[in-house]
Amino acid sequence: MDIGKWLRLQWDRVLAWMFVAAGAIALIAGWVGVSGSAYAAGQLPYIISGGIGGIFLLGVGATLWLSADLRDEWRKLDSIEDALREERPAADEVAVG
Amino acid sequence: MAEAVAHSRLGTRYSSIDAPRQVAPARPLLWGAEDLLRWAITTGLGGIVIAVAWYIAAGEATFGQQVGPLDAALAGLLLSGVGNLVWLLHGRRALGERRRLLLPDVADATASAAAHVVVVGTPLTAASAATVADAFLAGEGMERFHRPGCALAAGRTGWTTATRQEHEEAGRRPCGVCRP
Repeated sequence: MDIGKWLRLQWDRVLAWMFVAAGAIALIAGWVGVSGSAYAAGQLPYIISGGIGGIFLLGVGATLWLSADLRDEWRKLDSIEDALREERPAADEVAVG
Repeated sequence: MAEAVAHSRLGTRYSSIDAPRQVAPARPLLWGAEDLLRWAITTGLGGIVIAVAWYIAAGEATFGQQVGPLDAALAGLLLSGVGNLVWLLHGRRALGERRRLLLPDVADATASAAAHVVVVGTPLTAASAATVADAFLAGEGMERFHRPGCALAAGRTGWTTATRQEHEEAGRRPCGVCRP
């Protein structure tokens, strides 16, 4: 499959993975920073940027992923609505005939 | 799987250029512009607060001076979390409402359709029970046949069961929703 087309179709999941990966990297970097500092005053900036920032990025990634699932379900309902529109006139014809 | 999703996403019908343009029925949206704006503001603001808190904390020399920025960063995270939660809950609610609107009796569909097979179709015996999986529903004059549990077959009266071959010989096509 064409990778460009796939990226265009799955942009929300690609973005979600990017945020999740960035969040994981931030958490690991934060841990490395905290473990390398002996003082609380030196550790706290890492906790804010790596820890809290990492959780923030993970949250955005998870939200984007769940949103993509909801959109997929919404599209299924679109196809069901189309099928119902298609089916109903035929049923009405039978009822009248 | 990704290909299947991609295929379903590509499943939009495109009309030819020569064909007369038809006005497509308006489709409801899962999230409106207001929801998107609310999510963008809460997430963006949350991210900015965390970044500013980090910047201030990194410039302070003592732990006591850093507690304030830490609290602010936690507040930014909370704000972003609430925004994400509201966004997802709104999406779920919209999805549920539309599902109920389109398929009000979908919960009873399987049970009623199964009962329908027994009542309308060939009486079930131990031998014929195995063939229930091959029995599909359709009404007279209908163009498509359905699985017994299909939402489009729910609540229909007077429909009969037949095998796939019999339906196809009668000129019927498989339903696009349940894909028998």
